[in-house]
Amino acid sequence: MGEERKDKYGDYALLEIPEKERRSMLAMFIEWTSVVTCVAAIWGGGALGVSGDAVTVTIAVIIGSIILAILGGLIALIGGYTRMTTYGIMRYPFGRIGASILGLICSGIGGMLWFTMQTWLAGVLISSMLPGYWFTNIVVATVWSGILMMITSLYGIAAIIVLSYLLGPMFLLLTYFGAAAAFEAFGGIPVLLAYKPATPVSIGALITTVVGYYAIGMVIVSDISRYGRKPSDGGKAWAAHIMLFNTTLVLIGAFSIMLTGSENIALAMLKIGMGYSALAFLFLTQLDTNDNNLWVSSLAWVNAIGGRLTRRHWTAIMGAIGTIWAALVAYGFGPSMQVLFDFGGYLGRLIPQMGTIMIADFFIFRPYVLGLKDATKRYKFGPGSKYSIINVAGIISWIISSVLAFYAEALGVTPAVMGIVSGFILYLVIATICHKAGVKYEIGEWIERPTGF
Amino acid sequence: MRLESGLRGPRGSEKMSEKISHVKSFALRMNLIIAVLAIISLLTTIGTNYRAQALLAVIVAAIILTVIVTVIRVKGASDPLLCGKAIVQGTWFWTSFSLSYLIMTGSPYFGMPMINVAINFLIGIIIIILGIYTLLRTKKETGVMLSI
Repeated sequence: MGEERKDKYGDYALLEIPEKERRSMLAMFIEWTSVVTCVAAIWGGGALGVSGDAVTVTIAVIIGSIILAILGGLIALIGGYTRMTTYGIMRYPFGRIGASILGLICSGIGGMLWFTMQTWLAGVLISSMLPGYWFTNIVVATVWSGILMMITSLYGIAAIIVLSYLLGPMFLLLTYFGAAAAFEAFGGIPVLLAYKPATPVSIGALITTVVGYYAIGMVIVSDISRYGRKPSDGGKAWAAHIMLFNTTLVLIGAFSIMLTGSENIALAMLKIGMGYSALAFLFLTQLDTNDNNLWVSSLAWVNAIGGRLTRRHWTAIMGAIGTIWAALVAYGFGPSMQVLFDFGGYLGRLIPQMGTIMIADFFIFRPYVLGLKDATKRYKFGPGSKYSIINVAGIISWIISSVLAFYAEALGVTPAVMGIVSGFILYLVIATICHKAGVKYEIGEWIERPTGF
Repeated sequence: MRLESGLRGPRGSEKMSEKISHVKSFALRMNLIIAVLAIISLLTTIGTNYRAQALLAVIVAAIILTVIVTVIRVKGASDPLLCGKAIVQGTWFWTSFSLSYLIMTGSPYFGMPMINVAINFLIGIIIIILGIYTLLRTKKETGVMLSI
């Protein structure tokens, strides 16, 4: 690790995490658990619920989660060994400029879009929870909840983990309790087992859908796993949260739609008379998930732009853009939320393969083709470290697998899975052939500055 | 770390073990208070319907389990950092669970009488205040960060 460098940008956005900043496995586990305990996971489960019976969906969710746990665990391990953010790690398989562009697509813009959508949802929720007051007007509520969601992100990772510790355990307890209460009220296991889906699909399609839902989160897992005390801590925490909570939350969404006709468990909780409790619970869930979206976005912008703007500046800029956009949507003016959903769909076809290209480079190409067996020495960071400007093998693999992902549905495959598999294979094939044939695939040279940029 | 600075040599290690036992006894005392408060909250469900009893049983079980795990970890901790880590993590968990008292008990679904709701609300507030106090004091005495 060597001598500690000055963290110019904050939260070690461009530097390796020093010993004193490392966190426990529990802190990472609770942080990811807070991220996954959001409405999106449960809504995702709802889509599965209309496509399969209870037993088939359960098996698909377990298998899909095992795949997510393994792939995300491997990416987390890269973060654990290198102590760098996802965008720093990307400098090797994609080159320095490639990492900047792909980091912006993955988190810089993607994270901000998620932030915008969840801020708008919070505004909708507050205005429906407490109608009739000026401060609960949908536009006003969207603005102040956006500002509220920016606060922990502005403070950084310590504040984000503190908020997760405060709200995460409560979420889990109440999600399971609320789900159990709602399911019991709507008929319970006998009704669940008797459920027949309107449009059943194959178990393979269900598994790929499960993987697709959390594929983006899986790619950026190193942003957190680099904080682990041991290199493997992040991977273990990731796998544990996936197997314990991603599985159950997705199943709650699926079972909810089978029993109540709605994937929204908060709505089901409202239907059975839980009143403001369900809505308060939902709002807090949004709050705890959304700070993370903004935080990863700021890390990606720092890696891409550098200069004088720190991680906090980027948090404020992206937070302000997201909040204003969400307020405009709430006002019924400007770009509609559909633009966000559509753009989010495009990102879902562009991002997952970035993760498997990183896995292929770190775990196969470097040790078995380049002969770099020591995992701690496969990637070198620090002042004077040299990166290519563009790694052609990584960029071409990403472009082709992205094109394949866009056409995957026509082939009956989920885009995320097409991207994951094709990106992995293409990178190994292209990089290995280029290396063996002596073809230069790493173009240009970028020397890291003392700031890490 | 704060606790380790200036505690070198035989006298230093004596002072350190004195300090650890002080931190441990503080943690055990706080966890005992939390367990008692949780049990009192469970008693408020006597005579109420099964939904309220189920809710409180789940919250109290989660808090008691956290207290037990925390006490075991604190007792087994051999150095101030491990002790502080166990206290901070356990305290976050029971503080978080106690938010359920504020969010859930007043819901019409559970049909709890207003007086019981008020008592549970108060218990929730007390646990949160004790949680904040425990966290800040543990941070001060052991130097363990709150986002450990």
